[in-house]
Amino acid sequence: MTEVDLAAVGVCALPLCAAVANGVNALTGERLYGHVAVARVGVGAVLAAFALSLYVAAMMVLRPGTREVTVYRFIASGDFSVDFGFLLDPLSVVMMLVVTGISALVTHFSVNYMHNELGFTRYFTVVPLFVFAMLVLVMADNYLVMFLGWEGVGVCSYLLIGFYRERPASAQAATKAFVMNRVGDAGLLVAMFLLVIHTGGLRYDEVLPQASSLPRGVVEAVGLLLLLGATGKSAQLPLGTWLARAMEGPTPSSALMHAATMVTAGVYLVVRSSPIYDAAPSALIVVGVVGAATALYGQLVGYAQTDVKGMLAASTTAQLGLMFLFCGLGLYAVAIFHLVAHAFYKTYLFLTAPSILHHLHGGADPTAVSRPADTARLLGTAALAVAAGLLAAPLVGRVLQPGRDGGLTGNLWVVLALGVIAIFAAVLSARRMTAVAFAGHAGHTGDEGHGDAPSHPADQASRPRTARLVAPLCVLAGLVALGFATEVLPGGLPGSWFQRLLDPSAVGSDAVPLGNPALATLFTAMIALLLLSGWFGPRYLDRFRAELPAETRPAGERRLYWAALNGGYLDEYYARAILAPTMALGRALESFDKAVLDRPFPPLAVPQPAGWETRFLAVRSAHAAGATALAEPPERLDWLTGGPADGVPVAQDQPAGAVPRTAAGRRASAWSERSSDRGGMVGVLANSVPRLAERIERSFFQRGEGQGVIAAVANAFARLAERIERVFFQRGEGQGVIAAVASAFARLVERIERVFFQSLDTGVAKMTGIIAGITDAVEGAVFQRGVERGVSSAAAGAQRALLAVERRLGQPPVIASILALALAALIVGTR
Amino acid sequence: MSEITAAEQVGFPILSMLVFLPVVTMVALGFIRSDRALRRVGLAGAGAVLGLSLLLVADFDRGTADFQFAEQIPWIESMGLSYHLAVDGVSVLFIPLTALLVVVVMLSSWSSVRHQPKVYLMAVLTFETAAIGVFTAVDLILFFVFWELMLIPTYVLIKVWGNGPLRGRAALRYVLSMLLGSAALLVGFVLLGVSYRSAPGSGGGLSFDLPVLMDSPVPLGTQTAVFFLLAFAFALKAPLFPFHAWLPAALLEGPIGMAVFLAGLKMGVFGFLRFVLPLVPDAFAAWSWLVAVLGIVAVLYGALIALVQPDLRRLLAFASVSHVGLAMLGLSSLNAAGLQGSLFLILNLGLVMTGMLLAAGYVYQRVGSTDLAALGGLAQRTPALATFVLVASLAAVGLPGTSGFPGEFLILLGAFRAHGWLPAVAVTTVILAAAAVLVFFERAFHGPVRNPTVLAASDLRPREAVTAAILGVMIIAMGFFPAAVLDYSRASVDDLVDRLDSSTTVATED
Repeated sequence: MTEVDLAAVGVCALPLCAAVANGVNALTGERLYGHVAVARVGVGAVLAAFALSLYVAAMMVLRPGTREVTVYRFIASGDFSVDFGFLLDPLSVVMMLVVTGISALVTHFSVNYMHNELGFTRYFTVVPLFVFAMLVLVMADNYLVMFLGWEGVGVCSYLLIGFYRERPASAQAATKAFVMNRVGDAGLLVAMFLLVIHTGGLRYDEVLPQASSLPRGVVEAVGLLLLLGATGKSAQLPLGTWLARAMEGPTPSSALMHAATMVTAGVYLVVRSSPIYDAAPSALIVVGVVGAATALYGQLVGYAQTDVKGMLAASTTAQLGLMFLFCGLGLYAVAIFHLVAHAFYKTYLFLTAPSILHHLHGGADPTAVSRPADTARLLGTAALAVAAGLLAAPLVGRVLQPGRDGGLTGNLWVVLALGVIAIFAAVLSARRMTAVAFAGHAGHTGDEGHGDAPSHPADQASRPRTARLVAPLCVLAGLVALGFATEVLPGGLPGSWFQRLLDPSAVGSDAVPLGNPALATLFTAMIALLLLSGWFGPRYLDRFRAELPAETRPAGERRLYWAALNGGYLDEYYARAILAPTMALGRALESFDKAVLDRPFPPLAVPQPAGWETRFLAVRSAHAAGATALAEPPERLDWLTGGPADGVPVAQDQPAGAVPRTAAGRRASAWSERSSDRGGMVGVLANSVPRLAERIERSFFQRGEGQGVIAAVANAFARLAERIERVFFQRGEGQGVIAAVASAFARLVERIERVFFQSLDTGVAKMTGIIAGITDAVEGAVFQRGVERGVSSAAAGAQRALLAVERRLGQPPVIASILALALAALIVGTR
Repeated sequence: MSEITAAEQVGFPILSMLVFLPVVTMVALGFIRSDRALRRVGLAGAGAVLGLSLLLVADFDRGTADFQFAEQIPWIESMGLSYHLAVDGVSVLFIPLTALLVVVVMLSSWSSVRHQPKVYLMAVLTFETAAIGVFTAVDLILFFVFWELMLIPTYVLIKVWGNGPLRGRAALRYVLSMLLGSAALLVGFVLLGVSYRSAPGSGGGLSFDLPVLMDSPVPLGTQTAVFFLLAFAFALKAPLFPFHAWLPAALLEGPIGMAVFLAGLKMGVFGFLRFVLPLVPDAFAAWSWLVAVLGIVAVLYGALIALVQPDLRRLLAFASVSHVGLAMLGLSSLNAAGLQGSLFLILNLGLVMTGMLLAAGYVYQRVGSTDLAALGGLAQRTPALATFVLVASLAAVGLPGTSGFPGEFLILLGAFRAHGWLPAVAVTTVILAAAAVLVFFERAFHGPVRNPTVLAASDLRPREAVTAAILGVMIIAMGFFPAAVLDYSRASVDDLVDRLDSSTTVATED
């Protein structure tokens, strides 16, 4: 590895080390080192990463070219193998600079902002972890490692949105963000599978050059699936609704992730995969359409928001939409430029938002605040100026240097229009923000749970010193000014320095795919719509604000305002159309599981004698010698539950078929209790043998009493057999051989019917009963012995012995010696 | 299939020692009276097994597909039975996994199991012997003996130390299901052993030796019969949909120590890899579509039901059903990625399910329930426990950077290669699993505290923290360095895939 390679690895490794150190500190209850050190570790690592990125970037400028750094073999199976490696080309270096630069500022800012929070160490664990993951995302040299970072930033976002653990809203928002992102991730995964199958690998330098030679269907599918992933991460339609609620997290982390860096990952993905999109024009059109639709949606929603962070979130959505629109037009370099510019601009707005709010909320305490309006106005004006300046840049550049437009003359108006929209969006949202702030909660009607201030009440009690808050803001403003200065050159347009810098990665950006007149019309319409909405949206919507009396306008016209305020009801739609049916399906499957798949087992619910069993017992008692037998005290059931073994044989000497019937009935009903507890496996196994005896009685002498069709047929058969027997053999009903066989058959069939068609809760037990019945029938018929003698009594003896063994299970030396003996026997037996 | 003997590799019968060391420890426990000493001796025994298993892994030769550390002693020669132990790339990592789980179970039950600790430890050690025996036996009947031996400690553990009121019934369910499968398994094995008579070079004798049987072709008809018998047995054990009904009951009613083994050691999937694929490859290839469909159904079925479970242990049971479905989908793809992915996934489940179930146990000890109705706001009181649960949850979701991802990725990759677009249905598990697990995490650990017992909950105690740290670090390490794990199974799986390919071509030529 060369020094540059090592520096690149260090850029990644430093934040990771900081995260691990702070994480261990947090988990050990912050016993290792205190908050000051925690902050130093976090900020220091990110600053160092930024410095190293600058070094890498400088080396990149001095010696242009693409570098690849392989760290280790990540995964390998069969002929599929992927390394954990970094790709250093202009695109990734620009992203590295943005990520580490913004992160350094935000972490530094956070030291003061978070200083009173309970989860201070947790915050300074997650933010460096996020920086690490984001760097892996932008530096990876293949899709798989990129995906590692992609999910890593998702987890960090999840952790930071849910940072305020005690608030249910933030936990819900976190889960929602993660799950909606997973929808996109599923698309990304499938895209990767397609790429592996059709190109054999996932490295950018393997996959991307092959893009043009892939089958058109595959490459379009890959393009759309990658876009699905990008829409999740970058909060585009239709997956974008999580972003608005992601503002539940601490404001600096919102600035870092949900405005400046993480949400731009989707744009990065699309630009990185530009060769795929160049080979997939239809997918590229979808990219543009999604971007334009989201930009429109974001603007509309943004105008109606009543709290600062909500406005900023909507504005981020809109700006990201614009980036996708640029990509859709093939202007990848412009998209990246806008990404960089937007990162600074939005971070600035986010970091000033709490400052403004601090002043406003501090205003309630007149002694604590000095001249809040002046500072706030200063900050607000700065925000406005910076916004306007930055986003006007492409336009200004266009005007100042008209001769440098390369191959873009035909679409100059496209870029111009986009620039105008961007200015509208930025200026309007900034104006709205400051307006809300200065109007003294003008819009703060229903957002107390959603705004920034309530999220950290402790912060208001001891506000950080203004100077330390403003310092990083000034640095940011300086950076922005620098950007402004360089932006006299057109940002990212063909021929500009930015375009030349990005050249090796942002391929094919000169080719604007507007050849198709229908498509051109479509985009024109969209842009016109965006323009109109930018101009009329706020004017129109303002008239329908919730605070105004309802009768000023017809209800129908207020609907647009309400729709915008509620994010187009997309969340409600998803909840109704996707979430609810999925949950309903889950519940339906669960009841299926309980009703059908659990059926052959002893029930897990409290045993309730089933209807047939009650009837069975009633019939039984009527037939039995004395109905009072049922009323016997039930202590004899003990033997069934592994209790006293002396109750095992019931009336051994009595002829089968007389009194034991009642006992059999009771045993049958006691099946569920028996299996419930304390019997032990040995006991249950032993129990099953005497149960054979009961079964034969039922099988032989019980009249059919089933109601089902099969049972009726079987009973008819049984009756027929009995009649034959009576006629031919002159024997009493139910006594002859044929009757016995037929009746057994009837029983069997009835049992099958019960097992399959009725709510038989002890299916397996009955099945063993059937087998038992057959065995006993054989014994009774062939050997002409009493049921409880013969095999049954032998089994009873065995059972007693086994129960005795089981009772001794509590005495381990006995088991140990038994097992040792068995083992010895096994060993001796083998010799 | 050739093999390398233990004498050549380490000079002593390491596998027999691994199998019988727990039994020796168990016997020793019988003579100890003090509870404290009991737990120490038990842990020492389990630790020794773990150390020995790490030695095994260290000496394992990753470059060959042969069986290694083999030991063979004739048992009943007239029936071709022998005491034959050996490991290859498929099985080797399960031994340290089992040993680790036993250590973790002992540590986590240190203070929570107070009723008859001696018998508890003995049962756990018996289970360890049986489980290591299952992973190392390459004689079919010897395998069957160990397979059956597992039932006894499992039954006793659920029945006596279960914490649900219906543990007896859950234990009975488990045993009945397993016995049903065992019957099929034995018949399948005997069929295989008998069909060896007619194989060339058998000399008319029986054989139940896996390496021998692997090299002797079996007629397709027999293969199909054996496939269904074995598949039934292993699907019951795995458990694959629709044979999973015993698992939620056992997890909900049984003790955490046992649940860890039931949900963590996917012996059913291992059985498929160990016996079904190598022994009846043509039948498996012919019916792989059925396995794939059942796998995909199980993936969605488990995930959808898990989504609506308010109880963590039932949720885990159905998540487990979903994971097994995914593993079966990997097997059905019959390519290296799918098979190695399945193997990786079930190894990962050993860590993840153990972690989640231990966490469930910790929650249960503190709050007295794992049901959402009693939880909420736990993270405020128990941040370390919450972190541990989150790491394990993310691994269960299959997040890159945790051990859950490589297996899932390779399985789906293999499945897409083998089955075209069909596995796209299974990819939705990425979303459903995340929703199921994270919604539970959100409601149980975040939000306001609703239950006063939560307020009194203490964070992880040192011994619990050690187990959590071991599992957490391993989950992340396996997520960042999957190649290190995959290398162990690489040679064996490649060899298996070659066999599958060649036998399929032979079958089609026939």
